[in-house]
Amino acid sequence: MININFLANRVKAQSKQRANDVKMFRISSAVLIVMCVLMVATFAFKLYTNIQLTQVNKKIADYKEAILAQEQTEIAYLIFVNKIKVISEIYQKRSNKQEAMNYFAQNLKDQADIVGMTYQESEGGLSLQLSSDNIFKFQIVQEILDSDALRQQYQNIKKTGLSRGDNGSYKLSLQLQLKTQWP
Amino acid sequence: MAISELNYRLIWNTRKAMVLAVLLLVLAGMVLWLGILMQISPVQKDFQKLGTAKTELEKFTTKANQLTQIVLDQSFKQSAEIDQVLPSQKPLLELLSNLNSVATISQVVVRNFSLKPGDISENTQIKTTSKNQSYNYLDLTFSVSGELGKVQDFLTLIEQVTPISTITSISINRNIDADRNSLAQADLVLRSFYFTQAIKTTITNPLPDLNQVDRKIISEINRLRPNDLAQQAAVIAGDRGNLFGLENQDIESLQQQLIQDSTNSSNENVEEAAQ
Repeated sequence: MININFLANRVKAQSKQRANDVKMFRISSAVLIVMCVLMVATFAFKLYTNIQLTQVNKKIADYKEAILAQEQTEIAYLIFVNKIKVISEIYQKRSNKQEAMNYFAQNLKDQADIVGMTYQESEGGLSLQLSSDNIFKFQIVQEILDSDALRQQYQNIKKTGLSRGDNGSYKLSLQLQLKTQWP
Repeated sequence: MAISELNYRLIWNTRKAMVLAVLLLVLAGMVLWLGILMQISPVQKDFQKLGTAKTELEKFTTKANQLTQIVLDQSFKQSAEIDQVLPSQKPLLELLSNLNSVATISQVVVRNFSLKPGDISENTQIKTTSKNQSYNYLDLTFSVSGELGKVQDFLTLIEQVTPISTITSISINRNIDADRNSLAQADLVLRSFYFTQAIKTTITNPLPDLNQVDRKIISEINRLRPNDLAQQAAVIAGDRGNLFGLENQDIESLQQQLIQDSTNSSNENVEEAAQ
């Protein structure tokens, strides 16, 4: 059946169109509101970041001033620390030469005399020349040198030379590797 | 023209909601572009700046706290002692003073000591200890003679006084074949150290910490004997008296006195000539 009521058809179509337009208006309003909220959030975040940045920069300026005011203390401390590092380095290079010399002089007291000693820090070794009056004392010296107690203290001992004098004395040269005083 | 106006009015009257919806969408697009998308890059930059500034602030806070702490640090209070152990200038006088005092204590005789002129000169750097030179040294060559035990005492004591010194070469000889009680003669090289490192401060760099080894070094240093050489703060006159008789006179009174003297002497000359 053909509908010939054109006015009714037209009104119906316009009403439908108007409802669609209103719907679209509502959607676009919602989109605009969302966009505005996002924009406000963006600006608020930017403002917050800027305020924080200003506060941090102010704190940095205050700390800088405080640090610069204590520059002399800082220099004194750096000199102090660097001097300790240098002293530590010097200690680490030092060897126990006096200790070694005293140890041998004490242990070989009645059996041999220390008649010579040479030491060069760059080479790190100490050489001792011992002299015993006779073969019997020399034998005791040998026993002491080969004893466990002495070898525990000085592992690297080399007997580098032996000679006998006209008076029956024996001269022995020793080469020993020194330890550093600082562990 | 009339038709267009009619059309606009017709559209506005019949599709008002749609027109407004389109306008709102355009506005929403502009807000999105100008208010959001265009702000992302500046906000990102600000955020990065804030991150960098916070890291920097942390460094400054740490350093400021460290500076407050070191003032209270007991070890740092010993910096005067450390300066004595490792001075910042050539310790020539201290070295000679030590040599004298240690020789006296250990009862040995010191002779033939020598030092290169370049070593004494203040501005001459003669030895390079390392690539990053932080210290330098004076080498003093000398001989010591005495009983072997006393020479041993000397060798031990000379390394226990300040400024820090190390014996780098020893050569001891005793001729006991000729004389059983012959004295020992020791040729020695004593190396005395001093600090030469240039110190620079950087505002952001943290301060170095003292570790266990460093603290052990400080306690070890306390066992060293301090040098008894008095620090010279003024020119010593030598107590030679007032050689010119000008004590307690300022320049003006001296000038007047000289003028008076010259006037008197010229008057005397005139009188003598007149007679």
